[in-house]
Amino acid sequence: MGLTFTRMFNHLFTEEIRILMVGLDAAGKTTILYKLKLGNGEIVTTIPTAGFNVETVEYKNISFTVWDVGGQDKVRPLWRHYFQNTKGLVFVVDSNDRDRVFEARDELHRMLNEEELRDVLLLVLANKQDLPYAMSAAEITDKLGLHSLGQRQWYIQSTCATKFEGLYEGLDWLSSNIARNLCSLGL
Amino acid sequence: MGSRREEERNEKIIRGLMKLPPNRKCINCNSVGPQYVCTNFWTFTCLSCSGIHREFTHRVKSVSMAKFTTQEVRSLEQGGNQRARDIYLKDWDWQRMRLPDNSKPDRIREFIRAVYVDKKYAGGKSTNKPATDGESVKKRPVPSAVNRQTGASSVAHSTQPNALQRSTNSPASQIAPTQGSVQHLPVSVQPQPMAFSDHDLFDTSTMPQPGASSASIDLFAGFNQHTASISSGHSDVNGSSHKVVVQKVVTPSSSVPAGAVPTSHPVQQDLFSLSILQEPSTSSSPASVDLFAGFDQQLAPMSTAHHITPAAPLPANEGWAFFDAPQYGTSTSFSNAQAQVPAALPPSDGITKTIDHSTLPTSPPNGIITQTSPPIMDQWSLNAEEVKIPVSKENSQVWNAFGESTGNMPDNLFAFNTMPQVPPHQFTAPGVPYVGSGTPQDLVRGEPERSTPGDMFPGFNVSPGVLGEPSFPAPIQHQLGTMSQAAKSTNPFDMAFESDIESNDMFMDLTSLQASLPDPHVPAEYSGDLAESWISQNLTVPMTMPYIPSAPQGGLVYIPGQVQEPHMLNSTQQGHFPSRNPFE
Repeated sequence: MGLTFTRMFNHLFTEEIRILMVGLDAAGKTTILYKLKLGNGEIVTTIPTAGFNVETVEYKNISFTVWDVGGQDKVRPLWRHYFQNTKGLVFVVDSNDRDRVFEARDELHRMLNEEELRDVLLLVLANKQDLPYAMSAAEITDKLGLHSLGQRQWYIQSTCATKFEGLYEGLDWLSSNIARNLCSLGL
Repeated sequence: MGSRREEERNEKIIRGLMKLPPNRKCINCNSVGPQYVCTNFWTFTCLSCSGIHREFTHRVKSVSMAKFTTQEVRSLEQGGNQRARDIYLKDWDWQRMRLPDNSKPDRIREFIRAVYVDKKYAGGKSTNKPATDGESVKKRPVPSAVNRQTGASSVAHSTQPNALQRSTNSPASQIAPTQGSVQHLPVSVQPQPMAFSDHDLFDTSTMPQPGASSASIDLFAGFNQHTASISSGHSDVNGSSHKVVVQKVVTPSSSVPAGAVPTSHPVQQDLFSLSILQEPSTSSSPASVDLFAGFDQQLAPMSTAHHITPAAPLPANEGWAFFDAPQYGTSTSFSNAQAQVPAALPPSDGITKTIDHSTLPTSPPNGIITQTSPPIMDQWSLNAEEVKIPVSKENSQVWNAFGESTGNMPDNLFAFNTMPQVPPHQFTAPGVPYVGSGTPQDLVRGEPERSTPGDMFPGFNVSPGVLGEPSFPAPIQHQLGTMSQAAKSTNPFDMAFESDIESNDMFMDLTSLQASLPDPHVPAEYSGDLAESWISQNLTVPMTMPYIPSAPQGGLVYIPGQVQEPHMLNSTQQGHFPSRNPFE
């Protein structure tokens, strides 16, 4: 009886947060998604995402519904169809891909200019930190022009999805700030 | 809009490139219709391979979901899978080595690492390649592949007439699919079967001949012609047997091959026995019976020696024995058959002997025959060892039957013949005994040296043990003779037996043999037509000989085969024999 009550209680107070995870192709979005879903022990072998993947990740009493959308250039225009009701935007960057970091910057700013994402939290994951020539989080911050975002709440976390490094830290920031954000909005 | 037009144009170009044959399959896993381009190497890859490319930080772009710049399109035009193969797979042995299956990411990962990261096959380090196990394994598969395509033909060609070869080819083709799988492990085995088959053929056909060549040459000459035809059939059988072996080998790997090899032997033996039997019956059943009697007497002592030597020698001997038998006599043949039986029984020599003795008295053809027929079935189904005993009885009985009622019995015999033919698979099981028999062969050899009649006997002994069929063959010859003639191409038989490849092969061989048998039907004419056939066959045989070397024998089975090989070598003989026959 107590257990059921606990469950009901948890259900009532478990927030369901919709997260959209985007980024250039081969940034590691799908790997991050399934690492979060399956845990550190699982080796994730992915294929280029055509369309999207969606998984629900429970973390700290928060249910994250994470939408992982394909990042190839022809499908990026489809990202906007996932904007509605999104509370958090996870932008994944391949820290090792210096050639396209500016392409990533352009995509990011294009998105953030959308009205639907006006109040969305931005979590930037500087992924693939295990690679020898990976840019640091600071360098990526600079190259993405994050400092020019003004009012936007953003956070950058260096990660290595294959080693499960930095993923929960990113979720921590999301979970703590989304609640605050909701309160500030009076919701 | 201009950029959009450019995009469309570029995509059209890429779509066009994707239709080029080298680009129609994933460069890594050969799967059809790759939709991704790896822009590091300008290759077309499938979805799963592209995912693994990304693990190596290779960039992949979907043809449909990514935009390509004009520069990228140009690079892709200059690249493509063929170009990449020339660069990164320059030292890849396409015959020996197989591309990874895209359902196995680990294999693809290894492949991509080796090919694009380590560049193992890009030319400079070619020497390293062969060392890999996978490669070596693959190598053998290639030969098998050859066998499939030409291989069946090659083996068959060497030994057989075209028709026979073709017939065998069909089984080979069936086998071929398995070979692919086999390639990995069984590859080594496969070659063995080849060698075996060759050896077997040679052994069976030639071995006996060398042993008794001097004394029994005349008999052989007549028989040889038959045998020659038979041998051709054997060669075919060998090819089939090889194939069969390969199949077996495929799943079971090395252990299986051995079994398979034995099967080939038995098959040959069967064929021989059948052919021999047929020959006698067709050529001169009564006369042959007389000969047998004489041989039997002589053989009796030999049989003891044969007892020592089980199966392997038997096949060849069987053929001889059969030959002898037809020549010599019927009633006496019973005794011979009995003696033979024990010999064949090697494992259960004592028992078989006793049985033989018992059977000898019972030898009365008809009753025995009926009895024998069921036992034959059992024998076939059962292992060679077990079968051998009943076979011996049967043989003796059969022989008796032949001697007494060669004309009458044919129907029963026929049934028997068909039965034994089907069993070839079972024979494979006997193959194990055959392995043991390898030594027996040696013994047999010694025997033949001792006395020609002895040689004949050993052959008989072996054949009876190996095949209860020999007695059957005679009837088969009569009935089948016509049948076989119609089906000489063996195609008809193949049709009938296609269900079982091995059996089919056997059948095929048998049919070919039977076809040859018809020739024997013209007893007096042996010298002319048969001799010719022999020559051709001989020629084919030499062809098979080279194959033997080609197929390194690894398997245990080979032990017998190796023993046989010396015989083979000695019997380049085979060639000699045929030539001798022509003389006749």
